[in-house]
Amino acid sequence: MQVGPTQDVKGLKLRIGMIAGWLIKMTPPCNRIVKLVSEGMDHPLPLGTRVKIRLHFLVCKWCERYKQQLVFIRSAMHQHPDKLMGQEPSAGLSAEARERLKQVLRQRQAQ
Amino acid sequence: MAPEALSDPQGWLDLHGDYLYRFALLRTREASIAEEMVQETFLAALQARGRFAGQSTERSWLVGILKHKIVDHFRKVAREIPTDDIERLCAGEDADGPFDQDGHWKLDQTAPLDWPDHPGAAVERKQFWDVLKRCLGELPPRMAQAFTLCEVDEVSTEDICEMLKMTPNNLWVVLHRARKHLRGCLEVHHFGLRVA
Repeated sequence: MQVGPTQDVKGLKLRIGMIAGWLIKMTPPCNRIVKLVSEGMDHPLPLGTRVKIRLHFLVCKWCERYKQQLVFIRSAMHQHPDKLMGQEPSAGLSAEARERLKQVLRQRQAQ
Repeated sequence: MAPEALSDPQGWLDLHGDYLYRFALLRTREASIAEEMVQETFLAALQARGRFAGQSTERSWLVGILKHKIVDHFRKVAREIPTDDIERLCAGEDADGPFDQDGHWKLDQTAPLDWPDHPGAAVERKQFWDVLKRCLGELPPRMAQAFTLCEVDEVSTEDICEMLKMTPNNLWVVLHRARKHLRGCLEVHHFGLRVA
């Protein structure tokens, strides 16, 4: 009867499971992690906190994904700031505003 | 190479008016204020015309002036912002919607999903920006302002705090809530992965 390898795999899985469970318990819960991830984008976090976030990512791909998505939104906005501005004509100056501005400019230039 | 010369101020309105207005509107979120900012920019530019060194294009020179005007505007109105306005934005714990009682994601309901065509292709789609604009519009104005100043203009935390009369802690909470909302909103409305 061949039992060796299967038992090894089982044992390994068990141990990984235990470590993962322990990491989940030892690191802050996801609702704290998402807050810290965001804060980390605004100011440097203490080393201990950064380590905790890293460890949490090892066992929680959702929080890691959350972070990647925030970083993606940030870089998209950095790289294409103009795309956030309305492009359609209605997002521009209204005809009245344009007229007002024209008057003001003309007056000032005449002075 | 001859330095760039300014065009006739009479033409500024047609050349740059709309662009400057949209730029200001994105940040101030109020049409009348955006219009005022454009006017002040043109007037200041008219006065400073002689000092234009030709090292940048006319437009980026005007945008530079406009940025200063917007910062000045935020500083000026900061004194009038009622403190409870800010406190309300930061008050309370986050609604624990996406998390279970242990603070973990509800796996089959709220955990962040894998976004298709993220990161590259999405930004090339107009629909992505339309949705992002709409999601940004759903935020309370002050939260949207803080977020835009931080993520689009890369204004430092200290400066945003001064401009919007917030403490750094308040600002971090506000930015966190803005990002959380935008991420979720994009997931539903752009990537179409969940039902709203």
